[in-house]
Amino acid sequence: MGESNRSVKRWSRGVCEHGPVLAAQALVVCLLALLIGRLWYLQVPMGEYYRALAGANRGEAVSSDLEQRLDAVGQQDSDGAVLTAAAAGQPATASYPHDETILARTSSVFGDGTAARPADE
Amino acid sequence: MIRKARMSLRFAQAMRLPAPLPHVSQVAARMLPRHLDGVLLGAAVTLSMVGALLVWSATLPPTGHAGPTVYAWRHLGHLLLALPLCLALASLTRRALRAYTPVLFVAVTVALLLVLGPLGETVNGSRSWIALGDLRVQPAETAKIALILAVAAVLGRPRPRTPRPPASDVLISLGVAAVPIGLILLQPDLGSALVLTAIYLALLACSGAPLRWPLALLGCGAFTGLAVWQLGLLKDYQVARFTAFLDPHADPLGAGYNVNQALIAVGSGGLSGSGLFHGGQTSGKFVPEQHTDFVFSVAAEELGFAGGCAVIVLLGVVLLRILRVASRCDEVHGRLVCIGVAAWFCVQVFVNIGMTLGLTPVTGLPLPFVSYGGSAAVANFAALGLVMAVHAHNEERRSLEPAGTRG
Repeated sequence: MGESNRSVKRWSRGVCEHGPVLAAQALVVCLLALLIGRLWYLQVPMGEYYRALAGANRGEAVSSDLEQRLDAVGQQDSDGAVLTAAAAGQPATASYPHDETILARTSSVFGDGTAARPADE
Repeated sequence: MIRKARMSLRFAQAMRLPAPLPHVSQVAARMLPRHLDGVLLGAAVTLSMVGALLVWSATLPPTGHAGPTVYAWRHLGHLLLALPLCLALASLTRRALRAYTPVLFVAVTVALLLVLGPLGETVNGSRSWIALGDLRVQPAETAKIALILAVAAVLGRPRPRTPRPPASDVLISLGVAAVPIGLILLQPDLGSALVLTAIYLALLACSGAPLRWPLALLGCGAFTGLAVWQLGLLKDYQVARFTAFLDPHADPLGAGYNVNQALIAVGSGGLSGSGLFHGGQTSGKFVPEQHTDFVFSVAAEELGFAGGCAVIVLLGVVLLRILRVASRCDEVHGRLVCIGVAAWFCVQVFVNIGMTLGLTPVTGLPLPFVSYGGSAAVANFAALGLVMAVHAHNEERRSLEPAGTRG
């Protein structure tokens, strides 16, 4: 009887001493499981949606970058040498033919550039 | 001749001349701790190496591969600097840990005061760096170690009669914690202040102090937070971060930009990822600070669910190993040191990955061992060294116990 009382006391002392650590271990496991669950939700069920957004993101970035370069070319129309150099450095323009506005401006700039080149040379 | 040699030997013994100098390897072996937690150290070093690859990918120039970037080399340099410090701290005795605590606390307090002076440098709206030429140091990282050691020294003081710290010790520990937290709030670095507060609450809750203390402090904190929000004392960018967290789509090009771009990067990774150095979002530099605070977005996009999970599991191994050392410790001070370090890493892991996944507001907290940053890397490995010092003490005690009495 005395032995069992002592073992119960020892067990309860152990729980009091290590209870917070056990609770912390359980909390860590729960938080990490929550992070993994959220990662799964974003990457697997919602993966297609975010891949489409990423594709649009890149297209938009290239497109806006191109517009900025075209604007720069447009601003330097009076300087023939700069216009030629800038226009010749736009190989990506042909890969975005779906945007009619950009395509029209691209063709106009390239048209001017190629027309100017023989004269420069 | 023999008489002469005997005389010189007697002379050497009488003068107590030192023994021949030991070899360098012997000195190194003496400095290394006897008991290292290989799993804990291995997981941390692996995370750091993975971090170097992610930092390399995140900082690649748009023109393509040109070998490891200067950031990746520096990340490895931080590891080489931090590892010897970690091993040196792991060989400290309990007495030495206690003896150095006041020195470290005063040094950190002075550094936090210097940050607010002319030496301080403001980055992202927070004056939290000391600039010494090209070198920039963030004392808030070292303040976490100083707070853990100082509060553990007060709350873990040996008490033969009762294991519970009396109210006076709780109040002293509160005063000790208020110094670095207050100075960091003045910078203002809300993220680090929240981590320090969480560390203190965890230490208080696990010290054996009555539960009313941490609960009362939590209540006071919630009330203060509400008052600060209502009185409009937060800076504009801090309010914007909270509103962007509540509705990230409200301002996708402004306050919600970071969260939206991080979610796109993570979500587009899929199960297997786009491959290291081949992430479209990463190479396009759509996510700001992707080599520091948002480094997990690079892991999730390029390594996919498998890689992201591996990083989380490795961080989990680090956290659970630290708590294992705490559970095996027979004295309160060592246990509190481990719990403080675990609370620090746990809060930073959850808040950092949580903000990348849209679970928590954006704060400037790095991912332990993975994010780029010298101050954070050195502080993380130093904290690991403290845990391994406690582990070495546990193992030495266990080795002295008879085999039948081990738990």
